[in-house]
Amino acid sequence: MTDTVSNIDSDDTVDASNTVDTSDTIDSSIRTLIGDLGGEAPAQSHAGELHELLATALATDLSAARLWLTWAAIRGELPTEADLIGFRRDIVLNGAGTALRGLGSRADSSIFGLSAQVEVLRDPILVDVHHTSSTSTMSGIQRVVRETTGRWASAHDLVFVAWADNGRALRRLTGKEEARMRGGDPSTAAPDQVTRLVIPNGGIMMIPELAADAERAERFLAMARFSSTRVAYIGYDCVPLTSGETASIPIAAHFPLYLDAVAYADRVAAISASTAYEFESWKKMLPSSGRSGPDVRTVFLAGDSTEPSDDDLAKARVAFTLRDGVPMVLVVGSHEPRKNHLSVLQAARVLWNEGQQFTLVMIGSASWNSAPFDNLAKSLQEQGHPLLVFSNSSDSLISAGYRLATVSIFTSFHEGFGLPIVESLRAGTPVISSNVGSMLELAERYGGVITVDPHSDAQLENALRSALVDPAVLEQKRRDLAANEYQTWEKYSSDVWDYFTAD
Amino acid sequence: MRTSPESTAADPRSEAPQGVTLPSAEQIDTWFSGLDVGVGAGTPTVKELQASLSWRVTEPLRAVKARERLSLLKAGKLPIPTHAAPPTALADARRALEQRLRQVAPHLLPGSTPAELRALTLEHLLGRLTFAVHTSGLDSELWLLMIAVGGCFPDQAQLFALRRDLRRVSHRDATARILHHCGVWTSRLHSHLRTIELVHDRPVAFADFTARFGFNSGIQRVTRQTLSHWNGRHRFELAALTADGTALRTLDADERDRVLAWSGDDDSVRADNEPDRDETTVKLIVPWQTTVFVPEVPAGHGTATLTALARFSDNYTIAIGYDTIPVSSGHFVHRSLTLQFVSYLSMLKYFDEVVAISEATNGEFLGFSEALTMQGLPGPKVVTELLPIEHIPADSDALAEADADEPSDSSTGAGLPMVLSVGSNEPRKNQLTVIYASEVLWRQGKQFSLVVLGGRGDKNYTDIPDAVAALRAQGRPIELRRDVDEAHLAQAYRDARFSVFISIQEGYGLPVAESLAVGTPVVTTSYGSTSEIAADGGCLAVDPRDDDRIVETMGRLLDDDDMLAELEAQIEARHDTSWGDYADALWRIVEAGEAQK
Repeated sequence: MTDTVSNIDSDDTVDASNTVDTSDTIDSSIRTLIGDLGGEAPAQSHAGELHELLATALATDLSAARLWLTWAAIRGELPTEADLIGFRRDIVLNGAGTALRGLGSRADSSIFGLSAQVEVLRDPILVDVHHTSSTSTMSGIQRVVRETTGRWASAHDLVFVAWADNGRALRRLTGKEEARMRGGDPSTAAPDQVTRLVIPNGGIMMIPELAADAERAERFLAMARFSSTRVAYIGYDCVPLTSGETASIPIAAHFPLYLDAVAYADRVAAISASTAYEFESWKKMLPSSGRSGPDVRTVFLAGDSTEPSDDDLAKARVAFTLRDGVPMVLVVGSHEPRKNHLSVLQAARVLWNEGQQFTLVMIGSASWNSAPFDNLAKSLQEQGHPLLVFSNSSDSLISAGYRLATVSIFTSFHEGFGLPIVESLRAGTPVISSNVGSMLELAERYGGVITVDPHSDAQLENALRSALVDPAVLEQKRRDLAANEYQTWEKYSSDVWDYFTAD
Repeated sequence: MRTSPESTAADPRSEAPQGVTLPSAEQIDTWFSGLDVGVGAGTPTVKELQASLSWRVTEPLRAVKARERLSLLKAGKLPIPTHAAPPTALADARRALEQRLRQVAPHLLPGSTPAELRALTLEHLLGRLTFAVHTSGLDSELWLLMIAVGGCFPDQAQLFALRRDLRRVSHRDATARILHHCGVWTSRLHSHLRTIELVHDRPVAFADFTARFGFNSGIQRVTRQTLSHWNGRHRFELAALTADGTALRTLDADERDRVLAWSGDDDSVRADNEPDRDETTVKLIVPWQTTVFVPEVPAGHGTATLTALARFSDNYTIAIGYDTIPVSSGHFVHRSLTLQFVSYLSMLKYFDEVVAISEATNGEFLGFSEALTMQGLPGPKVVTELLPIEHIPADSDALAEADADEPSDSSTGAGLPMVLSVGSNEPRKNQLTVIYASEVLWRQGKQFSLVVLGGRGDKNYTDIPDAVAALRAQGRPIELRRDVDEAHLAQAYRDARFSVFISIQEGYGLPVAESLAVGTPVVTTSYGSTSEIAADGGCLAVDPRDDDRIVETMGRLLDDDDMLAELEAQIEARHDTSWGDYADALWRIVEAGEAQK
């Protein structure tokens, strides 16, 4: 499937994958490009002739995909919208030869020669795992990316890619990054010698991450608009657009760049029907800029919770200062305003003042604008209420928490999915959650959820009170959740793959 | 500190209705002293405070507030008052508080006659109002009471914090907590001397930027044309923002003129160097159960103030929707503008109605509104009122005068048919494409001049001046004109054979309307708002992303006099609305909103 042009005609004895390109390999890649454009390049033609032949081949048809491929292959990086519009105008005004010369030499060239190797891959499946491959931490999105792409990689032929340091080109992963994505041991990976840049000719570009960085967004925009490569995204939510007041400043400012790129994409696999609805609504904003937006489909997300060991449970009991007979209420989620944690503290305060006995455990990283939460939590602790806040906890503490809790609370104002709901249910613990959007969708799909209006303090207070004082309430919910059949990661990842690769 | 009236014979508490616990005059005075704004005999001692009711019942709150103060101090954001207290300060503060409470009393205590209300002392008023609001539990009433007590509008977090602290407390404690919460902001903003005017029998129109600055671009033009047309025909109230953005206020005479008596391009009223306004005694405008009309796009803390108003108060809120470019075409604007716009959308989230300036814009706001369903919010209703097509308010005398000064400022293309491209220099306006197409046509041998006219736009975007300079150097009849007044703008449209406006995205597309208004045909974008204007004739529509088609269309219109004449005839036959029609239509929408409440 992949056609590594840099190897062609190489009489070098050194393995080409560990060397940078040379003028010979550049000539051979231009020959391939001429072929891709429908021209012919005799093997003996020298560099100057090749440029003439390339210009002739290019000038026969100025369609966008051909221009995109030529620009990217000659430059060894991906063009922006303005780059490509300018390139076309240069050709029309001054001829293809002049325009090609105007592109200059490859982006990775300097007086020291070339520093990278460029491959043009014919009809590849590229998967952008830029953030996920660089770290072993697990945010919600990184969890999805790992569970999904790991399964894709073992079942299908695909190329994982990340972005080069300058943010302008896609490259293959380093050995260490490959190991992270394919379940190997990153620490034993051999160090890489050379950056291996990748340019797709056709095929599919899959973007399972939130690619909102400016450089990524504008190059994916141009790829989706001009190239012959199909661009497909996993769509997580539109929170920064429709709940901008709850998003951090960098995300709120950059999310529209991401949306601008998605507007030219081919497909979006939304993680819930609610998210699909948000993307469909957003598409109504596009005709005024002459666009119609991608096809959007719901592929309902999976979720699970790892089984804690007895040791994990014992440690967690100590950490949570659990006492027999005193129920524990668990809240998982970063301490940002959107998660509505002030309302949880309010309900707990009222119930504690009533004399209800329970420990409230809140696990979640400190986040954007968490000061109001921190101030109220600290003052409640100073007043002697049994409130514990963990900001940097391990996965094992969280999974033990779900099993030790009597009930968990996840009453966010706005979510694309609501992973903590599924995690709690899979640990056998009922959840009090919001009656809106994706959280309502989860409650309708899975048993064991009590829904409340996230804007009503009174509803949360009443729901928590009845869960604590009336054993029958949670008894029933536990019976309900025992009958749940959960969406699996296998099903999710194969459904997304099928959607992205279907004709 | 005043002596306590509790010891006097006529204890007002004896007159209080069942369940109402009246605050003492001492409690109110202590509250003022505690604000640290130079009222009273100085800051009360801890002992005095502890003796007061409020100190005891607000103990749990103070722990939270103390933490907040500490973080503000650390961040250097807490103002430290330096002035000494004038002797009348306490009396002034009590008088202002009483005025504010009396303004809201008829609406929060509907069971009392005006005479009964007049007879109440400050303490009685405060006690009865807090009782009424605490008993009703309505967010709208709490919102109004917070303004009356604090002299500033609450944002969402402030209202929630107070509402939560009022849960399950006695009325006695509720009064103390309301004073305490409002006091935090009164203290920070020094708003204790402000008075209010509650407006409930006529719409309130928000004109802030337009009142303060002479700048007259699209949004300001719509605001001025609409409100000045209403002036004299309908009853309404104007409101701007205080400098800190925490309240709506009345306008001064200059500001009213800037909104209602705008005289075109007259620089004499354009002075927008703001006076150093003393807002400590400013009169606030408090809309109550009426319509609030927002024809501007507010920015800064004012959005938070209006968000809480839209969400909690019982007003019907209407905004004009211009476009959503900062979020729907993110690459065309600066990140900071996107951020500002996202705050604006967070405000519209709670608005009742958006009046879009075109069907295309309607789609943008409708998409946003529908997405809110997933948060359990109804989202604003979206209607369309297409902006009118009217002549640029050009003064012919002024023009003649100006022309006498500069007989020929278009020396470049004298005698040639002129093509005009109007718009500020930013990528979205797509003017580089017009310049490119012109060069292709010049190379084909077409004889015409190109005038690119408009503001500097994005300062970092120099492609337009660079391209113009390069082509001029090659002897092309191309000219870049900036800082053109309205008279010369109108003349430029008249002089043009046709104009080209092929923006990638527009809420409306004023240059198309301006060109049609003087009878000059337009080549414009084939979709969105510009296509709506083009539909009634006089325009050729093209895909702004299709270079070849643009070259071809401009070329045809340069060559084909019959086609040009046909388009001119179409313009003659158009039946376009005027600013008066537009303003009348908006007034009907505002009135209908009034009926909704």
